[in-house]
Amino acid sequence: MNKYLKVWWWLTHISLATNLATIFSSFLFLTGKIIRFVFFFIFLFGLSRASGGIAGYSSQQVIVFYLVFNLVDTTTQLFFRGVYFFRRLVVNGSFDYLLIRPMSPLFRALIGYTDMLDLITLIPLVGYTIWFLIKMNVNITNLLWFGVMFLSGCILALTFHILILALGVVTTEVDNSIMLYRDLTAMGRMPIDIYTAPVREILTFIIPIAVMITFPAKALLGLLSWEWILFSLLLTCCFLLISLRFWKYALSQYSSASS
Amino acid sequence: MLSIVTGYFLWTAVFAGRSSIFNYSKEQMVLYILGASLVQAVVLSSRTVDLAAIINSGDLSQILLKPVAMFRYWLTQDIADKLLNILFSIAEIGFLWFLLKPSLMIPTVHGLILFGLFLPLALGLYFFINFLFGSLGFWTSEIWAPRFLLFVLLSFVAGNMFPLDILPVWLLKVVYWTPFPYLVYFPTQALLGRLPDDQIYSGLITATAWVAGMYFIAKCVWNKGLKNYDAEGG
Repeated sequence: MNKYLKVWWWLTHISLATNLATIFSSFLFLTGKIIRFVFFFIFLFGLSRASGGIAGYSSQQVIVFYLVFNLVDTTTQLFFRGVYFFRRLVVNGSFDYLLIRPMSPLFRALIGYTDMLDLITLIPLVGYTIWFLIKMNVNITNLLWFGVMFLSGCILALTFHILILALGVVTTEVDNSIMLYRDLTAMGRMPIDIYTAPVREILTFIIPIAVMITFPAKALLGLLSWEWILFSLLLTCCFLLISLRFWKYALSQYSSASS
Repeated sequence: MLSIVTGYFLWTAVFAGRSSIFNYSKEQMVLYILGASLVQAVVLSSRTVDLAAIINSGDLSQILLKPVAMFRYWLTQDIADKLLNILFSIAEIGFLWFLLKPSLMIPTVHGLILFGLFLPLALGLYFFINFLFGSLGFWTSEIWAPRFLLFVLLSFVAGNMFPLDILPVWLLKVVYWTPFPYLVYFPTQALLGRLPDDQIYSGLITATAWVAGMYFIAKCVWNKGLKNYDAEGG
């Protein structure tokens, strides 16, 4: 465990050094991320105020959904940005170096690049979310269940990234898969209840974006029953097992053609 | 396609129990979203995103040696790419139309003519904006960051996510001074017949001025960049 933490720490240092070496680009990326968050926040808030709510949720509740989406998305982007660079490793054969090291290649592929810009945006985001929730008088029980569901959501996001990596090993197609994942998670910016059947069912049971993003927000608002919490935890475990199995299978198919 | 689906369901949920909002009925808003998606697929796709990488890799030398005018070379690539995008977009939107069944609106002849005027301006404007960004490759390899910022701005002020006339009047006036509304919003509203007469003329004049201005700036930056070009890696 210590070894993995040390490696993650060193890789994070390297990422930070890369960001500092290209400080103007980093500044523009950061500005873009902040603008994107603020603009969509204003859009969603203005829309829900003008319409008196969306899908039965008040404007405050809609904002909670949006904030939770950003928390889950930013946290997973922070830690799993290495997935975006994985295709290059497979195509040029550098993935072989990950395989021969005394360390899980999955871990190395996932956390190969910690995006410090996401950390910079995460801190004020967490701060603002806490302030917003205090204003809404969210109770401790809801907060605790939110913690459980948030962790479950992050693990579910991890399983998606593992599946994408495994697909990358088998097919070398990572970029399209990750963009599809980003588009699917973007559907969780609003409560899943805005979608009708069968889209809502697909996003809950088959590609569980709802479980990843909407359920933690609902837990925070005290709108999630214990049955759905249990279902979410079971689903997350299933997805984790499936993704790890698929990763093992992908490794058995790796031919190291480019090395 | 997913972003169109998200937009459709969001606006459907917003209109639940309401006949109109921001002076749009549900049918008009859905038509706008679908129309804007089609226009966006045509206008906001470009091969000139590759220009900076070609400059940085030195592969530009091969193109410079050929007896082709640079702008026309990239414009031709753009047009070919857009023709392909039109085919895919028609298929996607056709599929979504079949699935979601929004009310059909046949554009009027007047709308089609205005669309025919605004669309080439939008195509030209985006081409020159992208060419300008691509030309930055002569000075830096860090192109993706400014492009990312451009994409973020476009997603909000080009009119692909929502019709810009739902914004407060003071903000709309500011946005109209930028080139972005002429990329998606104006062509889409022209096609749907929702542009007031005064905005037609001012829109055409402003869009034309932006195209001319961006052409001039892109040409100046390109010529200056060529003098800087080292063919590094080529």
